[in-house]
Amino acid sequence: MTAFSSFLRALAWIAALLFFCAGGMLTYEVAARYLFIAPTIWAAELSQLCLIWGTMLAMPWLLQSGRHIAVDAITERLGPLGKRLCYGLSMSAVGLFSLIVTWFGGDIFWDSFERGRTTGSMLDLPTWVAELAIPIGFALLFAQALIEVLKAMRGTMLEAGERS
Amino acid sequence: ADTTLRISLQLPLTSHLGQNLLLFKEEVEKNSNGDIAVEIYDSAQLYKDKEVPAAVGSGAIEMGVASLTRYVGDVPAVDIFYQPFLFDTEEKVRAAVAPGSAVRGPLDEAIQDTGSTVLWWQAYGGAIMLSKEAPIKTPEDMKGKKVRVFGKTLGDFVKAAGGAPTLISGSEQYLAYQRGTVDIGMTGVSGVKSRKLWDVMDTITVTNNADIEFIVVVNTDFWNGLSEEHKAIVQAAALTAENDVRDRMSQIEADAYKAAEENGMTVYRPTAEEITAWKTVSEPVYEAYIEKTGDLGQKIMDAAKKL
Amino acid sequence: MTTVLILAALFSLLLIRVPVAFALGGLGLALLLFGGFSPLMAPQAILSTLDGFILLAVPLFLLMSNILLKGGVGKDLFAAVHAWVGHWPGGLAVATIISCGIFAAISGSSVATAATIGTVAIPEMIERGYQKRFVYGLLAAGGTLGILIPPSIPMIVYGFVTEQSVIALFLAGIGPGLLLLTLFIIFSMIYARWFGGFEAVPAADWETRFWASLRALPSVLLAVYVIRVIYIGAATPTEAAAIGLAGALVITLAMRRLTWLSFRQAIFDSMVTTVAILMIVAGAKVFGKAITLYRIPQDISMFISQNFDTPLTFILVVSVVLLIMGLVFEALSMVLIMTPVLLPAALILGFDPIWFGVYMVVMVECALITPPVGLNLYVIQSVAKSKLSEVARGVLPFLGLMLFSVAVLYFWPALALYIPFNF
Ligand code: NA
Ligand code: NA
Repeated sequence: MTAFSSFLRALAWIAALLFFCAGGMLTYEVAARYLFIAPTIWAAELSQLCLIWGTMLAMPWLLQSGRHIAVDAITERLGPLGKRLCYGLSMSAVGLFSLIVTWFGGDIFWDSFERGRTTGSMLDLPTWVAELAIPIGFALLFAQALIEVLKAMRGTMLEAGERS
Repeated sequence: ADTTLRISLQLPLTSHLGQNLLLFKEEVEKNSNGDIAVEIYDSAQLYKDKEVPAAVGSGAIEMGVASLTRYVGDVPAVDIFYQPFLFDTEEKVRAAVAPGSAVRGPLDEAIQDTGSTVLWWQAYGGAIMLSKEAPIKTPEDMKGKKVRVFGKTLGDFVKAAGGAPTLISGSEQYLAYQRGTVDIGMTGVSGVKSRKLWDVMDTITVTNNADIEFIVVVNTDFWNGLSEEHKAIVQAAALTAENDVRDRMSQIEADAYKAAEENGMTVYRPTAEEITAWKTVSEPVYEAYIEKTGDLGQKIMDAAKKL
Repeated sequence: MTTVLILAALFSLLLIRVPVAFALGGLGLALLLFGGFSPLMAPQAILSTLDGFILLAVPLFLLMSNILLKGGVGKDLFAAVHAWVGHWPGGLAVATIISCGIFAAISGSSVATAATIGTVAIPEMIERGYQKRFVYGLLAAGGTLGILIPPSIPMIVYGFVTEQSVIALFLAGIGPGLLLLTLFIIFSMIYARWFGGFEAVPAADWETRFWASLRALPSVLLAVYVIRVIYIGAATPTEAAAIGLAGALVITLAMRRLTWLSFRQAIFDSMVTTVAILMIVAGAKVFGKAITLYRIPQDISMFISQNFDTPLTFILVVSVVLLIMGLVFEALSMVLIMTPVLLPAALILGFDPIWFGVYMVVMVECALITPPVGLNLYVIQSVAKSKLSEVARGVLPFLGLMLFSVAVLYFWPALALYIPFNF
């Protein structure tokens, strides 16, 4: 489990770098357009891929560290058992959702992959390059949600003060 | 109703494409005695234009309207309609888009492979150029200028003519022209009217450098599951809708040009020599098209040039 | 009836602390499955959200402001403004508000604005004898300027869901932002006259002013430059944000304010906020599609436009609804859920979509400072280590000023629309 959580943390760092690189590419794009009147054909699309992959790769780490935005108003007032129960339920809901999204997201990826569908934009990349991010991100999210359900059963989940 | 046809549309219901869908809805619901219900989800409530091919192809929704060029990822040959100045008169457009014609037929067939069946084509008009102070008569006027485009093929054309293509979405057009993000605009003339682009640009050059077509598609598995009787009703309504919008299109464009002139715009129509100059610089674009699309593209291009 | 059931289900999910993103997305997916619609819509909606070029502006604006923050810009700004206006009546309060306004031009988020200026201003004001309640209210409310003065993350999101020009929205926020800034300043000065009793600050000498201004100048110039780039249309908001990020790096490196460690923190923090925000947008998109297929927005829109058929009654009713929703809803999800429901009705009644976006943002600002769920209240509470109730009470007069500015905006729409379309 610790190996998995270090893995998720590494993915989160990759996401941070991807977002930063997106900034670099777009700065270059503006410069290329204004200084050399030669807009790039890749900056917009590659930076978009950075956003898609970055978000999907970091999402499971945010779940693990309690960084997704949630409403504390009621759960904060509950006793330890109530908290565990709510946490177990909410993480089961996340797990179920991510499982279904993984499944159908995988379908979409596979369909495009088989057909060899491309985006038809300036760079004309295969569409599966972006679509693959969804099943991968949500499969990891599903695994992490299961781990969180286990934590709820053992009562070892993060307290409000330990988040962030 | 036993059967519901949900249609996704990017534009609002008040647009001429939306009105055309309403006509289809009326026809279908009337002729099927209410057995088939048509629900229109306009203004991209469900899907944006670019998501429609995947959404309909996968069966996430029964029907959708997408601009033809959205299929370029699956069927590169569809960009025949964006080949510069290939369909520069209404006669040529009408011949090319006639159901089963040598240009349209193979495209409809190829789109079939994406899981969608083409029901009908919706005319949207020709692409024109917008500028400030002087018209864009020849490629010379485009040299070194930033030009708004809405697709790769149009971008290739602008590059071939010496301009710098810049992708700008429909909603950012107004401010992009007002503030000079690009020097030259490109759009369908009905867009000039609906977005009041005359506030920010003062000259239209009627280049008709591309023909903008939308297609209404239905998921193929869903379509095959319909009874023959229902299929016939839908097909008849589709044909009525197709003819109606095609016939209206020239009036819609004429109205748009009139409105533009009334709002202070100058409308310039390039001479035959100027068009020849454009066609000359466009040669590499045609070549790139053939290279990318292979035999299918060659066949369609030959057919198009014969029109 | 269906609407009530769906709302009840959403509340239950939120209350057992399912993250907002997955509560919206999960409920949306359940509705799709239950209604016999294709579940493929869920992954498609998530992907299409992340595939929006305009949303790339979110991480980039966050990176820009986080890097400046790590470079100590909050402190510099406050010190500079303080040196100029600190000796006015209520000078410290005025300096705080002006600092919020300037930082708002760097940051797209209210929480960041409140936290940044709050960290430096709260201890200083309390030390000088300002009433706690007033100080907390001032900071929580001043922070909300962060989303009205461009750049603004809620405006980016509104532009994304409605396909309106984000540039126009940004520019339309300037007028109301300055109005609110002025109202807050006037209120602070009146408050200082009537409820004085705090220690006056001596006027700073010219040397102090000079050096303090010099330190704050680069980031102020960068903020002005980014707004100018957007204003003249030299770049899309996303590209402008990238320019801002590059500028922030240059400034903090040149001033030797950025260490490797603080740089790493800045990019990691930006990533966390970005992912949290974008997942909410994605979840809301799934939810939005599901309720559209259940025809709920269409029905509500129809109901509203038939029953409240003058613009004034419409805006009054909608404002009350948004204020109530704002008590318990997180700000961004409010924009995401309500915009598709309200905008069609608003358009029928003749409201401008850009104007409506600015109006929604002001209403979201109210939601940010009303208890029990208000992110700005939480931030000030944790920065000041005080009670939520104390912050909440301090906010009341400012809430009044914000509602007053909604009224001004209604009767004088040019306040928002003049700059983008005529100036
Ligand atoms: Na801001
Ligand atoms: Na609130």
